[in-house]
Amino acid sequence: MKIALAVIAALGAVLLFLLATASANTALFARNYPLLLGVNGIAAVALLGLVVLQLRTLWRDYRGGVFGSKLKLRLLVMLALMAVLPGALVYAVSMQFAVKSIDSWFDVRVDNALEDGLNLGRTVLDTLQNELLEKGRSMALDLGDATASQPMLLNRLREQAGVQSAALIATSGRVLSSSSDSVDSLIPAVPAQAELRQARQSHGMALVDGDVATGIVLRVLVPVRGTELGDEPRVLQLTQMVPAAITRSAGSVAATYRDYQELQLGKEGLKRIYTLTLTFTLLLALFAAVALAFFLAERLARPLLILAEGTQAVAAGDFTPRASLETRDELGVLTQSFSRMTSQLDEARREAERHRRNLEATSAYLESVLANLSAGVLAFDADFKLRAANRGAVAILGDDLADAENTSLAQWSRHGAFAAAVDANFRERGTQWQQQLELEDAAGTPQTLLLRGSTLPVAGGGGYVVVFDDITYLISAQRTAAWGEVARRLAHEIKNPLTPIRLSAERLQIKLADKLGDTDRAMLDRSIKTIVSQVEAMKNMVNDFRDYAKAPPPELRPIDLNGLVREVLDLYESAGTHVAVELAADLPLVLADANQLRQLLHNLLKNAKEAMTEAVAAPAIAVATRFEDRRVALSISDNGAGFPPQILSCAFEPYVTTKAKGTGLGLAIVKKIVDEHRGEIQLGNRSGGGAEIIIKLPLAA
Amino acid sequence: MPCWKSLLSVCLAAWLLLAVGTASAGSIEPLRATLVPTDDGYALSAEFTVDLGPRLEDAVARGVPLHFNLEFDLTRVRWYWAAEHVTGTRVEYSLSYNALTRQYRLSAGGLYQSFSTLSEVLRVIARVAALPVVDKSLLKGGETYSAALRLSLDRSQLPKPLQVDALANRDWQVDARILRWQFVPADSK
Repeated sequence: MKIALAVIAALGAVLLFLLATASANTALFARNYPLLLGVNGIAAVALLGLVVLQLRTLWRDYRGGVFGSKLKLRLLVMLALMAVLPGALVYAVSMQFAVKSIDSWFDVRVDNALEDGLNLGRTVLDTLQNELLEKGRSMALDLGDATASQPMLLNRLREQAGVQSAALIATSGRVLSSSSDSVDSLIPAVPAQAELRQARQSHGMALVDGDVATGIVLRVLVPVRGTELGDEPRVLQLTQMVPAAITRSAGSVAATYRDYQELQLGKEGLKRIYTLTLTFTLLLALFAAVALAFFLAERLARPLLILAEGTQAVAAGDFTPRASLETRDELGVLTQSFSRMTSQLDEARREAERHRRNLEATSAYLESVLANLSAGVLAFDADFKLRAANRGAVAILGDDLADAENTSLAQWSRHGAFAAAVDANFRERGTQWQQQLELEDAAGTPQTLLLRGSTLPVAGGGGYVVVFDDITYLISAQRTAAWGEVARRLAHEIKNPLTPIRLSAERLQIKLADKLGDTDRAMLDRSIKTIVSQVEAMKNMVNDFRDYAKAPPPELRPIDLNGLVREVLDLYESAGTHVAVELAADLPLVLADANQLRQLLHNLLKNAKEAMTEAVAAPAIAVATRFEDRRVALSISDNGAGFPPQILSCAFEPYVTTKAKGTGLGLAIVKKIVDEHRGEIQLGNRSGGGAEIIIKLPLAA
Repeated sequence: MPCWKSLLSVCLAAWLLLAVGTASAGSIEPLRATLVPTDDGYALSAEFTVDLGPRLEDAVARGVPLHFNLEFDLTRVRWYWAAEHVTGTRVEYSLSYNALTRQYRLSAGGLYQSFSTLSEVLRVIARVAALPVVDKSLLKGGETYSAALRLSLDRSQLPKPLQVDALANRDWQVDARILRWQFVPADSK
């Protein structure tokens, strides 16, 4: 479209130039003037078509709400107005001027003067003609009378009259004689038959030949009548050149007169020419200006559109690089700055994003650390509403604390004792405190918690943090250690008197047996027997204590746990106890003391067996090993009664037992062994009934 | 765009108003035309009635030169194809008035004649006698030819303002009818 505009505009300019040149009074394009007008008209129509096409496109864009079309339309209207208003003004003034000035060319006085000039010229010619005619007539008379040699007479008469050439012509048109004052026109032009006939019937006629350019020649034809009858009628022809000065002057007057007449005739036409030329100029200029205004509007609007689009995109969060104009003017600089700004924004946003991600990662890390702490952490805001709780807290309290975020600590529906203790501590003991709290969990198992509270600095928003540990197991371990010490001492102190007591009782039996009667002796024997058996039992018990207390440290070696299990189970199998075995293949070696492990297995299997002797229909003991996460797990389960809940937390303490007889040292010893192997022991009830004990031992390598 | 349409119709109306006006145009009517056999071929003789109309006669009297074209075309009629152009002749006349000598001058191809009245000149223009137009060698006996003859005013040689006037004003126009007739040359052998 741009190219079309350029071509049409250039063509229009050329055409206009031609039209203007041709419209001025020149001979250029005189023959094809209407064609030139038509071509100009076509150019104007083509430009109009272009403008209409552009207008339609723009209008459609405008109606369709295409971004930027409003701005373009406004720019276009402004530019077009700037072109149209001065154009129309100049057009109106020029029209007025041209049409008025054409009228002013024609003036009655000029008209009259030219007419008078022409008449003057005609009069001069007439005078000269009449003069020549008079000369001719007198010459004809002389010639008619004379009988002398005609050529001589003719020449003489011509010279007398001062005529340029004279010829005597017969009726047939034959030249009888001629005379001339110049050598180059010896043979005169022969008059036409009609002229001769006309001349013979008159007293002589005058003719004018030639024109202004070649020189005007006056010619008279006078009949020569002889005095005698029967004379051949002849015609005398005289020619005389009009003097050059007269010809020139009269000619120029005539030419001017003709031009003036022509102008007057073509007055309306001239006005039309001027009107048409001016109108075409206006139309071509206007259409070209409007068409150009489109491109200018587009060009002007483009940087603004780029900016507007960019702003919208930035507002929508799109920071992709924008196009910018590579011009050096302010708008170009503006678009370049804008594009630079968006890229900087983009960078800043990316930086912020990176910071945010770093922060998130850090806080996620902290959170995961917190979450994986075995200690429980509770954070409260200033109103004692829960802000955060870690997994440890949830696990220790056995509660997901779902609605605790909305209620103040004092109004907690569960964990009343815990909440009351925390509340009271913060109120009474201030910013830093520590307390050991005895609780019962949901199942009624006693639980010992160690609470530490601290107030958060007000700068960080204030609030409170409570960190607490479940130290139930720690306390039981302490208790175990204490028991061990007690047992060792008791064993030492009690064992010493046992042997003398027994020996003394036996001596009493030996010494007194013979001295007593039968009844007394029977009673003595019974009593001595009781003493001995009780001493023996006590001794066994004391030995057990000693064993528990003074178990030697384990000699750790890599051993095959599966092999050990099979070896121990062989004994039980032979004793008629069925044990279901599920041993993992490729079990790695564990670092353990084989003897202690054997004892451990004996203790556990014995417990299991005893648990089922009471009232179980289908006794089933299962032993399984498996490899899990850098440890080897050994599980022993039965389908007996399981542990009562109150026993679960303190099952490893000595003298805790469910059995009617038993020292309660079995599990305590197991625990001690596992602890010394740096292993782990879990004890619980299976969901289907029965107990399960899982022991995890470290690997050898 | 109704405004464009209305503008267009206004322009059209203005043009029509200019073009209508008094329709006292001149006319050149061919009266008769014949091809007369000569030794070399055929010569044209024809007669027209020439009426320039008052406006053009006035223009001539004021010294505006007029140019006339006499055009003769001979084509061979072919039933199977477009007509074949055989020959054509064009004679240009130029008529002018010399205000100084009060003479009308008619020139054609370098030759000129002077007349003292316009009607004399027009009579000369209107009569074409023995204008050799067709060479014998171009014709075949027995064939049918179509001849066309027209005498017209050459408007393109009018002065520019008058040309523009002639576009809009019928006074400046001279209707020239084309005379067509069938012509069968006699067998020359």
